[in-house]
Amino acid sequence: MPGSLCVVGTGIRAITQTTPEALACIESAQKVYCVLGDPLARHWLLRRNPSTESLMRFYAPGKHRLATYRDVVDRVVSKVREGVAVCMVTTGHPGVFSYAAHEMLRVARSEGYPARMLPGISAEDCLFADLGIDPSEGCQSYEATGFVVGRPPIDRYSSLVLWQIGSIGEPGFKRGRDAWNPSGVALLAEVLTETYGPNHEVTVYEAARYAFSNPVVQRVTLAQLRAAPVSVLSTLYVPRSAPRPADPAMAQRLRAR
Amino acid sequence: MRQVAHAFARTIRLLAAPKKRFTLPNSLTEYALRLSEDPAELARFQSSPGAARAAMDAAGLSAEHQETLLGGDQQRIGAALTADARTLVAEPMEAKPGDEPMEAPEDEPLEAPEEKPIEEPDVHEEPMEAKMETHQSAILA
Repeated sequence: MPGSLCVVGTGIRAITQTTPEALACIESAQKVYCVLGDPLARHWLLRRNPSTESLMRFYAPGKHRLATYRDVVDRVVSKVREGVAVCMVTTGHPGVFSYAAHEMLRVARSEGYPARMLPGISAEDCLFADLGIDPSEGCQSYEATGFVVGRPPIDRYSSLVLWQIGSIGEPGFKRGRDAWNPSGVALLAEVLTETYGPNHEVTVYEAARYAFSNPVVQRVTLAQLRAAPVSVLSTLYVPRSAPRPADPAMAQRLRAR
Repeated sequence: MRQVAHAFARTIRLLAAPKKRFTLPNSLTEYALRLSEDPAELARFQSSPGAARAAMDAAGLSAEHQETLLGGDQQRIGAALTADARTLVAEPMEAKPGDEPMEAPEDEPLEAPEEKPIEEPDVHEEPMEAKMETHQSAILA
């Protein structure tokens, strides 16, 4: 019997945000692997499928995360090669900020195994809901280290979402929830201040991980950001600085149709 | 007759086979799972602090855990759940009729059913976002 791979996400609030199709995949798999930081989510998953095995052991302080991801991919794909129907479970949306999930799909498909990914609810989805943001007005989204190092052009008329602001410049893994690199947050504040000024208000956000807990929503100015309570789970929301001006000539052309 | 005795012996062995499952009825983890899986329980919890306390009392939660859940601070809740996971152990659980097939096909070996792999809790882990992004790592590699 040929092996197969299905990669799913639990949503940020595992259990309540896990989609029915993801749950069906979890329950029907012959082997479930997971990379979930939350103990409640792992416990729940184990009940849904007793074959569940956490791959969090591949993370280690001082170990480069790329090496961890390769270990995860190798473990999952090798099980598929054994002819097993495997389900890989991650937090949030399995395709968002998840190199290993995409890579294991790529490898499995290249070897001829059926492999698919099911969408899940990401931290950004929770942010839109909790902060009342409609991304249709324009929204840029970057991983924070890439944003600081790559310096992409900022569109001041769009909102800006920066992921993983608590681990800027940290390629490894550390235990604990406090920001792994506070000086990275200070550097980020410096970069943003160049465009928005020190008094621009931003939101340090952390989605609620449980149905019975609250999201973390801290509104601070960019001047205050370096001292704000930032964790490794924090996402930064930067609102646009002004509504986007319309192009009168283009508007006229549309009206003339 | 011999076949009947054979089947009876198999059934007894299946029933007697120890099954492992993480159980601790009054643990924070169990109650948190119930809140997450049962919308009525969650609604009761969220209706008022008094109702929440009554429900948590009935669930046997400690005063400390009750305060933690009522506070809604997920950092504290996550830490408490991590600590609670250390108390969860794989305990033998009485097999109940219907839990497993009572009678295996005749051509199957008589050995006790293979234990399903049960993961020990990752008690060493801190609650944290465990995404597997690469952009940052690749930049800094």
